[in-house]
Amino acid sequence: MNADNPVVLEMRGIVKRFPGVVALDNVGFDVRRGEVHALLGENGAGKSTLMKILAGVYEADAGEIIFKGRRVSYHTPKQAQVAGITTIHQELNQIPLLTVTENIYLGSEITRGPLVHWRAMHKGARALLERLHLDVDPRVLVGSLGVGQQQMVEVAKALHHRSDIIIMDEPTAALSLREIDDLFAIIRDLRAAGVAIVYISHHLNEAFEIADRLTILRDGRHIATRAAADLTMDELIRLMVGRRLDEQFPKETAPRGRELLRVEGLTQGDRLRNISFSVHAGEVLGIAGLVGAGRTELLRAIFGADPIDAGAVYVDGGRAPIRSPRDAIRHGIVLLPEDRKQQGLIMGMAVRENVTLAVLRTLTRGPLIDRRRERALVGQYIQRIQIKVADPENLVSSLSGGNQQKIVLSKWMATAPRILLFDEPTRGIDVGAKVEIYRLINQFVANGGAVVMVSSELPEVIGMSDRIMVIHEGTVTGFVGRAEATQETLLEYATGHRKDEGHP
Amino acid sequence: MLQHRKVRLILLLMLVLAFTAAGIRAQETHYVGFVPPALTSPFHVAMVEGAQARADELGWTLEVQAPASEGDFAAFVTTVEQLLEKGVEAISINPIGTDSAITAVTSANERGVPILAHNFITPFSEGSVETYIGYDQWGGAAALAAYTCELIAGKHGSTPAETTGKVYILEGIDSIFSHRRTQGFNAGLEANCPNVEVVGSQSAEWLRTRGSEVAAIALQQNPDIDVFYGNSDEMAIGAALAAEQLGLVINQDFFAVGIDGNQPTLDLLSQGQFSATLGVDPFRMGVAVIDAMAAVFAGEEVPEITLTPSVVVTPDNLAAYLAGDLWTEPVAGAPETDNGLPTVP
Amino acid sequence: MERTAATSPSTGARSMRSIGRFLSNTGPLLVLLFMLAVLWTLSEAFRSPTSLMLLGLEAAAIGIVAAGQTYVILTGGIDLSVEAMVSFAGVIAAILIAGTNVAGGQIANGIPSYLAILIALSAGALIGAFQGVLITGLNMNPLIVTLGMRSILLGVSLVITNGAGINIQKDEFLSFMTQVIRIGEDGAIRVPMVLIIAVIIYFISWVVLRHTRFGRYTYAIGGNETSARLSGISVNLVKIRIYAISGLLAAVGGVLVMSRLVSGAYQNGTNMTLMSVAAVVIGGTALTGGKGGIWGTLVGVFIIRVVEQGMVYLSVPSNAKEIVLGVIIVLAVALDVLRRGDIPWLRMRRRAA
Repeated sequence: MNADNPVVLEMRGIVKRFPGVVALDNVGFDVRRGEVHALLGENGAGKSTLMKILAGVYEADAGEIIFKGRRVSYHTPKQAQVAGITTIHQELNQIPLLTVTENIYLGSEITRGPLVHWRAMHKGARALLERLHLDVDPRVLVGSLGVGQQQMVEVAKALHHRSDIIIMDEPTAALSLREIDDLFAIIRDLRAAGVAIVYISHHLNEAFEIADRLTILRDGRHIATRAAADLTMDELIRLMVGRRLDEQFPKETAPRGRELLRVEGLTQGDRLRNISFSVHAGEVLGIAGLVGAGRTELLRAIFGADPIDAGAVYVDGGRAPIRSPRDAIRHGIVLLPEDRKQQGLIMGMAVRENVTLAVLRTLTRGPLIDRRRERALVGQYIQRIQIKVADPENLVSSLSGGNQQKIVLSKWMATAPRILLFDEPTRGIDVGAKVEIYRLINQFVANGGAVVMVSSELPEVIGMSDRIMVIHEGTVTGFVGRAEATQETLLEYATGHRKDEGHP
Repeated sequence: MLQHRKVRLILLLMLVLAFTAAGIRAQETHYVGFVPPALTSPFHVAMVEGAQARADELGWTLEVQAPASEGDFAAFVTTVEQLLEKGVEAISINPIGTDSAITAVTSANERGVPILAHNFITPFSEGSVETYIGYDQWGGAAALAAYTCELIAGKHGSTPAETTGKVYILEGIDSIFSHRRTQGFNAGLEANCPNVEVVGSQSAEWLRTRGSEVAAIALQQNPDIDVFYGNSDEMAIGAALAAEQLGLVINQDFFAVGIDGNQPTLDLLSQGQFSATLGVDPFRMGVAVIDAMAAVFAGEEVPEITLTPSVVVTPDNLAAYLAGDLWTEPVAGAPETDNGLPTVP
Repeated sequence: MERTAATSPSTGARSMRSIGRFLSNTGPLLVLLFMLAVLWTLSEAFRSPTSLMLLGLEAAAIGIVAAGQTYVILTGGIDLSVEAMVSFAGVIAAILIAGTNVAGGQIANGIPSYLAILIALSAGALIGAFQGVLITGLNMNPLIVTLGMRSILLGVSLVITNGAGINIQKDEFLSFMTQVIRIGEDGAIRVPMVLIIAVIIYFISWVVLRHTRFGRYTYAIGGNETSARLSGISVNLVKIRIYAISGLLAAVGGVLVMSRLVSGAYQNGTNMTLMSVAAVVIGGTALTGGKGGIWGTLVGVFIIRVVEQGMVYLSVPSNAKEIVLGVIIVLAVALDVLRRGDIPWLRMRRRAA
């Protein structure tokens, strides 16, 4: 369709290294005027890093960027935006307490003398919104809009900056099906107007639907760039994964033992409504659901990190009153949070200190910490969990995502837990380390533990769980066994289109 | 029923009359204001006590208000204006920045409320003040210096005119107060013991702790300092503590003298742990303020400057000082300005 | 998606950080030695053993206060009440020892000094703990809580003393506490008792912070309070204890100042908050918490003392002192930023280069 359009952007030989990982290894990428170019790959493939280099968030270690025929390098997202490259992030970058107009014109206000020319700005904003068929008063606060509308405001902002390229990073993650249709209509309009769209998504169906060309990255390398018409879904998956599914998820089924954890009627405001389930020894219970369905909230509530309004938790058949993470840990329940840096680790501390943080009590002699026993324990876990670190005295901030996750895991393994609450176990972890994390999960349940695993990656949920609980808007919509689970079924439950009886 | 109403009405009328009478009586007794720079030093507390005692004797109502900390000039002016708003018939203020309180003075002038200044004899550049009541800092410091010369001469077995010796001065934070007290003391030394040398003069910020620090270092430079003089007693006390810590004995190896004559100083003096202080009797100064107000109310002539006495207090005359025997009635004096010259020519 | 990498430093920032690490490890000590050398060269009076003794004497009280401040700042908090606590504890102890709150009343008919000191120190610890309860239990900002407490304590000190210092007389215990120990023939080396007390407190603090569970938790909370809480640490309890320690050590400082000046007065703690925070920062502890240590603070205290005393040795005009101290404090904070390698425009330059 647009195969003959001129190339507006070309990235050549891009290399980016982070401590412990080569995030991008000699990657090339080009975008033509008026095309939708999907950028695909697994977590950790390098999609976001590539786009962050383009948008001036990161600096490439090697390679060049040619935009509209000139070699460029941006140092801030602002510079890139002024030049014509706008990124619309997963996490929206708007200021909720400012109006739509103010957000669109942030940093480029129209002024008359020293004063802001409100009338002109509102008029301009209204025109932009009309172009997007968005029926929103530009004078309302952005915070009062829905997520889909907020995203449209970002698009309006991109239009305002006359962007040549709009990068959309997981734009549909938080949208309803109708909103997705609206978004696609707008993307087509923009394409017709000659704007190039770089579309990053996990949803391969979407990519096929909207994209003209597809570029696939894997493990930081460029694998292929094809026209969408020339590619089948099977081929695409093979290119993305580079191996068969059973290699990717080395699931081993452990014998199912007695019930370890039971949650009854757990309720927390509107976020969690009357949630009940149980997990047995030797079992991995996957929790699927859309962003905002309450998955993370559920794990945090069980762990005692947030207060609950009603409901009870039973461990080993006995009622376990949990009011703080300490109580949970005492009952053998631990949480591996989604955001490891902010909630799991103390980045400024050494590997040793992080690993022993939860078990210092057992490592003291009199009032003092017994350094020898502490070191021995850390050494033991470095070996057992296979943490790749030269010296346990190194700061955890210097490690790769996979190794950081292993440190969180070590910290908890040292407390001899029986129930792991695992939130996005492999987010931001490279492919090799993912498999290691999966094997550690296998090992844990094989030894009689139970795992509750939340993941946005449906293949991961399907590949690693014995049973899957799906939640939608804070309510359980159904349980699916490993054998019956497909992405389609789970999505039906997750979007609330399907709901089993007995889960009000 | 009707009867009752009448009785009630009469009772009410009587009540109203009684209050009116009380109001008229209050008019006769005077409601006056008194504003120290802050109540954070015993000096000002003592002055308030004096003023209060005299006001009680006269049956007046004295309202004392002060900012929370010295040097808060804005709060000071606000405090004065609040008291004026409350309807004081006269007010006395103790400003510490020379012209900082002009706004307060002009406010009082506009309302026709007599305003006095106490512990302060440096006339403002604007506004009219009934009288400035205070002591001569230069003269007092000079008198203290004269006594200091005697102490040094005694130590060295010589006469003031001939003796040599070393003096170290601990200054307050730069202000008219520290200037007058330092310059007056220097002049007094020059006049009485010209061969005595001032080996150093440093700020100790009016604080005992800083006085101690500065003096300890001064002794490193000059181990044979004869006298530490503080613009305030507190700094000199700090110096004495430092010297003692270094093994020196007060009133034998060295002397410590200062200005203020507050109770803590007088205690130390009576215990032989201090040498001499310039006593200005803040209690009686407070009394003098109320007396000056009474004179203004009575329409009597008051001098521009009402000079209160200051005396060098030593262990020998301490009892007399405490008894008030050394107090002399205030006299008309000359204004004090930061001009490096004696207050009274 | 590459979240792991999101905060990884660029090469420029990394080299800046290594400079920063050097600065925070050895920088302050080098600065101190350099300043001592300068003073040694310029001032003859400084070249005496007594001068060093004086330095230690003056560093002791503020040093102990700054030690307490170090605990608080390590957790990412701040205690602005310390100077008021110094005054308050001194006033309380002095009143109990003197047996009166009236300046010029009967002196030395109160309770034995060690008992008075014990009461003052308990008050310090309790008030500190109370601040900790407000900060954790009610989730109030430490800046506001301790600022408020500062006012309250100063106000109470002022009201109960009427603005005058309460003079005391030293009894045996106080004389023991304030003595200068002479070592060697003819007592050439003189060590003030208060300095020994300070050094003991520093040593204990080092053990507590580096070798106990409580210390590890202190660093963990400062490093990342959320992670610490989610790791099962009772963050609130630790913080309450931290503020209690700060209150206690400020009270110790207050008692020492009081016994040195033989007077409990509301001015006794003047400037100590600013000085203690400055010492902590100069000593390499991050204001954001989680990084630094107690010995750095000791170096910071000595740097400040050398500056203050050096200005007297060198007869710097009094009015210039404020400027010098201000410059040092601003430099200290600049050092803190540099240490974190967190100067956006500098990073940008290096990237562009």
